[in-house]
Order: sequence, then C-alpha cells, then structure tokens
Amino acid sequence: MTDDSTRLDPAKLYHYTDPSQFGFETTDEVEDLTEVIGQPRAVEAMEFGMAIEEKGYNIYAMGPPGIGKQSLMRQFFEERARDEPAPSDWCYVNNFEDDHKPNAIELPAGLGVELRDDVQELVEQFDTALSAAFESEEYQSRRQSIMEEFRESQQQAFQDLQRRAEEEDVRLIRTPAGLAVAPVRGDEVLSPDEIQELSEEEQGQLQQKVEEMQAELQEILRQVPSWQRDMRERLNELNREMANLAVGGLIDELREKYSDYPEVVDHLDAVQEDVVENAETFLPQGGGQQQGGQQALQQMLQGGQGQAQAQQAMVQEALMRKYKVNVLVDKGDTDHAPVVYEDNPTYQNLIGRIEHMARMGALMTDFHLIKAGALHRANGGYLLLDARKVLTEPYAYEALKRAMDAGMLRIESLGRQLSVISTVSLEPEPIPLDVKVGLYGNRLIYYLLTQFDPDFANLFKVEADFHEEMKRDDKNQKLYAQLIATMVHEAELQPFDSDAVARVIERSARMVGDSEKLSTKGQDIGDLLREANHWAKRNGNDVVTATDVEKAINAQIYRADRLRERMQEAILRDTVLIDTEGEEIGQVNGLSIIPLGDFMFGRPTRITARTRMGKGEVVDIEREVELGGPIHSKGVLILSGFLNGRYVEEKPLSLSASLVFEQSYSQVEGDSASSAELYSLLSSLAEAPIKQSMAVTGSVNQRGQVQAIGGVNQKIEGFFDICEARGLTGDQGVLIPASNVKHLMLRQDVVEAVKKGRFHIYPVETVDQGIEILTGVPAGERDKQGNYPEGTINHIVERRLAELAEKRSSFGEGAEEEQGA
Amino acid sequence: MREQGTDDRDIVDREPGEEGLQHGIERIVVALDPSAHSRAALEAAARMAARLGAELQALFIEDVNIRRLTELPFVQEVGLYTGSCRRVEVHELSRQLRVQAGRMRHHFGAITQHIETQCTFQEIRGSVTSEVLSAAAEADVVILGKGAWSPFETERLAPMVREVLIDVPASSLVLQAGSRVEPPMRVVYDGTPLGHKAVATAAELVRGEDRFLTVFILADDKDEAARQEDDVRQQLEGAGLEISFQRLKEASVSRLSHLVAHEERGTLLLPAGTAALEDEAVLDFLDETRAPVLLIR
Repeated sequence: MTDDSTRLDPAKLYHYTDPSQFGFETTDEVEDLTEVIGQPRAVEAMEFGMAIEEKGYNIYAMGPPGIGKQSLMRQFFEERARDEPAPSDWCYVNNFEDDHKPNAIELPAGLGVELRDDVQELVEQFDTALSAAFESEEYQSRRQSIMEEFRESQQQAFQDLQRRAEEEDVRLIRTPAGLAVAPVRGDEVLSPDEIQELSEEEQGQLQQKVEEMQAELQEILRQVPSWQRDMRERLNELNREMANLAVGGLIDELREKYSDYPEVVDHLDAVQEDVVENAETFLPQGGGQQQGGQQALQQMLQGGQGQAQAQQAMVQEALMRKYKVNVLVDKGDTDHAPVVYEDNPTYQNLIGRIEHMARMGALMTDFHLIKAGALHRANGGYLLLDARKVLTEPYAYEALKRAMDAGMLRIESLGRQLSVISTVSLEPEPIPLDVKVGLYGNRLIYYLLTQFDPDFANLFKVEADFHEEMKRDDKNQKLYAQLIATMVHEAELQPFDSDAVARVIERSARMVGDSEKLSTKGQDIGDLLREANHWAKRNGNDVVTATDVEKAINAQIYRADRLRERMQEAILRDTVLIDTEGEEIGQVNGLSIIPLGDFMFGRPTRITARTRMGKGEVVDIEREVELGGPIHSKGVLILSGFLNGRYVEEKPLSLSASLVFEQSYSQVEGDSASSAELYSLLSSLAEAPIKQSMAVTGSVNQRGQVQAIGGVNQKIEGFFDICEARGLTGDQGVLIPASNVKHLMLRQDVVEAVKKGRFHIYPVETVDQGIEILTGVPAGERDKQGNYPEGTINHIVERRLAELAEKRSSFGEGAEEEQGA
Repeated sequence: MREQGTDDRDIVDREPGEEGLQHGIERIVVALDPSAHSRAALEAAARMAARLGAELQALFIEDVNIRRLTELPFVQEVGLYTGSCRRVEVHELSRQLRVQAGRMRHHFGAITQHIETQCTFQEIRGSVTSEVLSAAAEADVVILGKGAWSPFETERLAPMVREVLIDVPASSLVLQAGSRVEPPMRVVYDGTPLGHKAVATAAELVRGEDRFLTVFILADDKDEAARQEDDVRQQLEGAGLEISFQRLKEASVSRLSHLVAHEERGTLLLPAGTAALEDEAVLDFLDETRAPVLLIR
C-alpha cells in the first residue's frame, strides 16, 4: 500500500546550505581561519603529545589520505619549535687512539662551522710553521751536530782500532761483505809461506793478535746498531722539540678560544701530540738532510727528487686531513628547534651514512665521509615521517626504533651489517638523540603495528585519530566557509561567491554521504575548489559561482563514470534484465554499490527466490559458488532466523529456499540486500507478486527490523537513472531504511522528480512495512490469540510453512514405513 | 741544474781566438771502488772527459791482499751489518768480487754512454797505490774519491789517496760523496805556466755553462796583481767569458779554506807547487774542504 503517508517528504531528500548565513559576498572579505576545525580528538592528542616530555610519547596521526594529517602535524611542530632554542651543532673528529672510532663533539649552534674553519686555518699554518722550524739554522745545526757526533764516535772507534792494528802489524782489509783482520808486512798481507817461516811462538802470537783485533772489530760493529738507535732517538727528540715549538703557539690560541669546551681542547691536544709524533713527515726532502750514497741511488731509482717530494706531499696531506673537523650538523643559520620532514626515509637517509671513495682500487673511508641523516638534522626538534614509506624501506623502521629506544644515534654501515665477511669500516661515536617523531598513516597500519610490534606501543603512545567527517551545524558551516575562504586564499584562486561556498559545503556533505555531516578531507575539497576555479576562468568569470562548482562536480563525475554508463546501457538494452514496471512473484529489484577508487555508483540487481519443501535450508547461491562474501552470507543466514522466529517457532522449518542475484558474476559482499532477499522469499512463500516499479535496499535482522546501509544516495540514483531513461511512470520509487533518511543528499534531478510526484522514496522500519508497500497486501499483526489475520502476508506465509511441515512429516513417516517393510 | 757528463753539448768546438784555452788535458784516469766518494769521482771524470774532449780510463783495482785472506785459516770476515764472523771462502769471495766489478762496470757504462771520446773500464788486481800511480804516469789528470771504502765513510783523505797525491806526477782531482765539478769555477793564478794551465782548464770547463770565471790573483803587490790580471785577460781574450778578479795576498791553507767555505757549490783549480803551499799543507787543505779541488801539475 503506497500513499503519501509512506512517502518521504522531498524536503528531507537534500539539506541545503543557506548562503545568507555567512555574511559575505565573496571569500575576499573573509579572514583566514587560524584554528583547526573538525578534529577535536586529533588536536587534543597532538597538544598532549607535544606537551608531554616523557620517553615514548611520540605521535602517530592516523586517518584516510588527504585529511590533513601531515599538514596539521607539521603546523603543530612548527608552532612549538618556534619557541624552543636551536639545538647543538655536532662534529666528528679523528680519534687518534683508534681511527676507526671517530669522536663526536657537541657545540653550541653555529660554533661547529667556526671550529672547522679555525682548525682548517690552523692546519694550513702547520706546513709553513713546521717547514720554517725544520729549515731553520738552529735545527739544521743541531741535527748535523747529532749526526756528526754519531759519525765521529763510529769513526773514532774504527780509527783507534786501525791504529792499534797498525802498531801490531795487522791491517783491516775491506771485503765485499765486511772487514777482515790480517797480518801484514808493509802493505801486503803475509802469505802462508811467510807465516810458516815464523817460529811457532811467533805464529801463535800472530794468530792471537789477529783474533783479538777481530774480536774488537766485532764488538765495534755490534755497537753500531745501538749507536744508530741512540742517534735516532736524539734526532726524534729534536724533531719533537722543534715541532712542539712550531705548532704549540698556534694551537694555544685555539685552546684559549675553545677553553669552555673540553672535548675541543682534548682534540687540539691530540692534534699537537700527533703532529709532534709525526714531525719527520714535515722534514724537508733532500736539502735539509745529509744523504748517503744509498739514499741518493734509491732516489735515482725511484725517479728522483720530484717523486719523493710528491710522495711526501701525499703523506702530509693525509696527516693534515686527520686534524680537520667534519661538521655533521650545523645549526648556525637557525634560531629555533628544527622541524624536519624526510620524504624519502631510507635507512641511510634516516640514520646517516658512511661514504667511501675509491683509491688505487680499494674503497677507503674516514671520518670526513660521515654524513648526517634526518634524525641528526631533527635532533633537538621534530621529525615527520610517512609511516607507509618507513615500513616499506628495508631496515628503516627497525633502525628508527632502535635509535628512538636507545636515545642514541649510531651510524652503522648497512653493508657491513649485512656482509658475510666483515669489512673494515667506521664506528663513529654515538650521538645522544632527543627528538619527537611524528608518524602519519592509515588506521590499518596503526592497528597492525599495535597488534604485532611490541616496540611500537612503547614508542608511539599518542594516537591522533583524524575523523573523516564533522558535525554539520550552523556554527560549523560558518567555520567551514571560513576554511574554504582560507584554502582559496592560500591557493591564490579567484574569490568564491557565497552561493559557490554553499554549494561546496553541500557537496562536502554528499562526499561523506550524510546530510548532517561535512567531510574533513581537505584534499578533496581543495581539488573541488581548484577545478571550480578553472571552470570559472574558462567561462571568463572573475568570481567563482555555484554554477562553476556544479560544473566541476559534474565534470569529476563524468570523468569517472564510464562503467556506470556501460552498465546502465546494458540494462536499457535488456542485456541485463531489470523490470521497472509490472509485478512478479519471488522477484525484487535489489540495489548494490560498485566502488571504483574514489567514485562509486549504484545499480539495480534482480534478486529472485524459489521456495519448496525441504529441510529448512535457505540456500544462498552466491555463497555456494563462492561469490558471496561472509557479510553477505551472514545476511542470508539471518533470514532463516527470521523465518524460524516468526513463523515456525514450534515446528521444524520445512522449507528449502534458494536466493540468487541474477546476472551477477562477480563478488557480492555486504548485507544491504538482505531485506530485498527476505521480501522475495516472502513473496515466493505467499505467492504475492512484488511491484517491479520499486527497488529495495536495507539490511534486516532476525526480528524483521530494517537496518541502515551505506551508499543510500548512489543506490537511489542508480535506480532513478534507469527509470528516468525508460520514462518515469509516477509509480516508481525506492524503499530505504528509515535510519538512512538523515544520509540523503540526492541529486537535484531526483529531488525535483520527487517533488513533482514522478518518483518516490519510502523509508521503512520493518519488513512488514516494506512488504505492504511492495505487494500492496497488508502484512498483518498477531491478534491476542497469536494468529495473523486472514489474507495478510504473514498469515499466508505461516500457513504455507505449516503445510510444508506437514507434508514433510508425512514424507518422513512413509519413508520409515517403507524401510520397515 | 744540469747533470754532470753525458751529452753532446759537453764537447765544445774550439773557435779561432781560443788558443789561450789550450789546457793540454788529453787523458783522464779515475780510480774506482764501491764507495760513494768513488761514484762522485767517476761522475766528475766523465763530465770532464766530455767537456775537455779527453780520453777516460777507469781503473777498478782489486786489492791483491783480499784474495790472500782466503789462504790464512785463522783470518775471518766480520759482517758489517751482522757483526758475525765467518771463514773467507775463496769461491764465495771470487763471486762477490766479480759481482762488485760487474756493478762498477755497469755504472761506468751508463755514465759514459754518450761520451764520444774513448772510454775504457779496466779491472786490475794488485796493490792499489802502485796501480794508480802506474796508470797515472800516462795520464794528464788522476781523479780519486776522497775517503776510503770503509763502513764509516769519512770525509778525510784516505791513506791511499794521500800516498797517490804525494807521488802522482799528473794533475789530480779529489771528490767526496755528494760533491760535483760544477760552477762557480774559481781558479788561483800565480803567473806561472801551471797558473796559465789552471786558467785554461778552468775556462774550458765553464764554456758552455754559465761562462763566468773567478780568478784569484796571487800577488804580493798591486802592480804585480795588475800585471797578472792583464796576463789572464790576454790569455782568455776571445773566449767569450765573464771574468772577475780578486786579489789574494797569500795562498795559505786557511785563506784557501776561507775562499771555498762560504760557498755550497763550486770548483777550485789550484796550481800545485804554488809558493807558500807545501805538499803537506795542500793535503791538509784537501782534508778539510768539501769542495772539489783540481791540483794542476
């Protein structure tokens, strides 16, 4: 039974926004919005997360994309960072005790670069100062004196021996490999015959003399290494003394300047010590030293003086490099805490890297090649990261957690960590980490991490949950208008008039499918504004109007609805069978949603039911062929519960029913068609034809109450489009759950058709209401005796089920008798 | 700075008017041993032979006494580096001496390969002093390394060198390790024929180099000094040299030492037998100075 009382008032089909409430003509008159609207929970969470200084209270902002998670978090960070001091500079310097473990030095902001430059200048002066020291007359003279002293002592010992030898008529003869002591007469060594001519005693004395001299010679030669060692030690001592004097004064100046920073002073002390220890490297080649013949020959073989000098220059360069400073983080150009967004959060971009350079076929590295990562740059401030990106980069998430948990930044070579064979690399001193990390991503990631990663819950204790929609009341509409104006200003678009703003707000409600809500997805609104602006410009408008906004909306839909057009065409061409007139038993027009990315549309689907005697099964054919999802299957199974509960409480349900979505060959999910399925079942049982001019949507529970569904606007419009294409008859309409009325934001052509009585919307709360509208037959209510009135749907169905139960029972007795026979 | 010896430019063609540069040096003998001093001597000898167009004979003298060591069973060789004693075996010693000689020959060949005049390398076994003096009898210049071939190479004249310098009839040049015959060239002129020869030799050595010559005039008085200066100018007229003169009142060891002491480089040519310079004094002078001194006889 359909009449005006069952039909929905057209006023409820669309919630208009009155532009006059805004108080402006165009958005040029509107001041920018300074507060965040529509996200009270997220804002409070952010404020809490920012304020609390305990470990582990980092923030995860969750919500769908385009809702402003990143921008809001950045805004919060930047506002707070403005009032916080700039963090320290960090530098790496060589560790002279173990150059694989560079030392870290912390300095006030800006002083790192100053230190680097000061040390650079100092080191550049080393060469000059040391060259001057080692080329000085004093050094040369003292050096020569030491060497001469050694030479003289050697020569003296040797000459003394020679003289004593001569006194004893023996001589030192030079052989290719050494020296020999031999008896002589004049200048000639005695021959064996000449010795034989001597008496035995004389021979013995001669031999003894030779052996004594030989022993003395041995003793002298054995002393030579220790003399040489003594000489070297004295020369080294001299070199150290000169080096200390040369560089000490220069370094003292820097010590004075950086006296407040003990680590810098320690480094300068180590530099001085190293310079002194390696003073010989700065000795001038050739001219400043006495070279023996072997050295000269060696130089000749090695390509001469030039090559030796080049080699010395290389060694000096390597030494100088060790003294310099690598500024890892420089905060000299900022006066507040940093806010860093890393848009490519690889392991190395987060933690830092140790680079290598190829030198003579090998990969070399030193502390100069340590590079900072995002965590270094954000240290003392805030770091913003996309959760999905962090999780999809190998080892990045683990490294991030490790650093946050330890409160220390340790740069480790990933290659070394993964290598089967350990390669020599650096282990820089870890740097203390103090950073607030803001991750943003969807809810699924958050809940998965919370569920499966115990570390996550310890490190990200603050969830900032961004809601997709906000309440649509007068106050919020005005704020929303201000938000739109702000977005127009920021994007430097043409001004929007108040009608255009109102249209955008209405569209926002349609986006969330709720007339009482507005979308908080700023990205979608921003896109609409930009596209409306584009259409306005194309039309030559200086101000964007509602027409431009409408054009933008329609253009967006048109770009996305190719498939809807095809499906509609298939129905209109009767390829897909959908009736919009007449009646059929056990057949109803159900409504479904096809989601395609950001776009979704509704389409009618024929649902049919066949019933017969059986064992109480309601067969969902979609489920049988595994085209039905679990929620869909649940909805069908609930029908059995309804039938059992209403009609056959004290009897067995002797029904076998099959339900199918006709001409549906893809997955079906959701229970929004369960009421339609129930209507077709009841129609089949009662043999009461259902009006094909109607379409139905709504889920049903076991008590026969019709429940809300999603996509109500699209579903209505989907059926409307078919009816309109065939020509509206005035009888057509859609049954929707009453609880979905507040979600209606229908297209204007639908609203107009309803206003004109050409199309109707029927909100229902129970299946009884629905079956009456669909069949035109009263559903019926039980009287005091518990009986349904004769001729009502419920009565017919109940009677039918009872008949089936009796027949089944008699079939069962007959079977037993046959068996007994 | 040019390397000593070994290129064609060292042989300078004599132009007309250069008769005053006739030095009479046609044959040079250099005595070699494995010491650094001897290497310096060889380089100087090669350079002079090239510059003066003289024949060069190198003598590598194996001291006869070395082989005799193998005949005395109680004589042992003490290693220079190890200080250990070992018997001197004849085969091993022969091998070592051959290697030594081969090295010297190779070095000689490398240094003299571009000299156009005749260059010979001779190995002799005998008494070093005698053999050198014997070869020097037919030479115009004898060149020696200053110190002995000793593990403690000294900058003093080795005994053998002293002996040779005293008895050798030819001009002699002594070099120590690291020194070279190179400009600035300084010559002492005393008005004697040897003085002329010294000037001529010095002039020849600077031609093709910096062409600058310092002449120390050894004269008691100014008139004598002026006359000697004229002599030198006349002798070197047409040689295209720049000549500076300094007067030397005496040629004592101390005075000569002073002349060469404050210059790091340079060569001094000194006529031997100069009055007031006895042999011993000359030897003392040579003992003290690092600079090459060519004694003209």
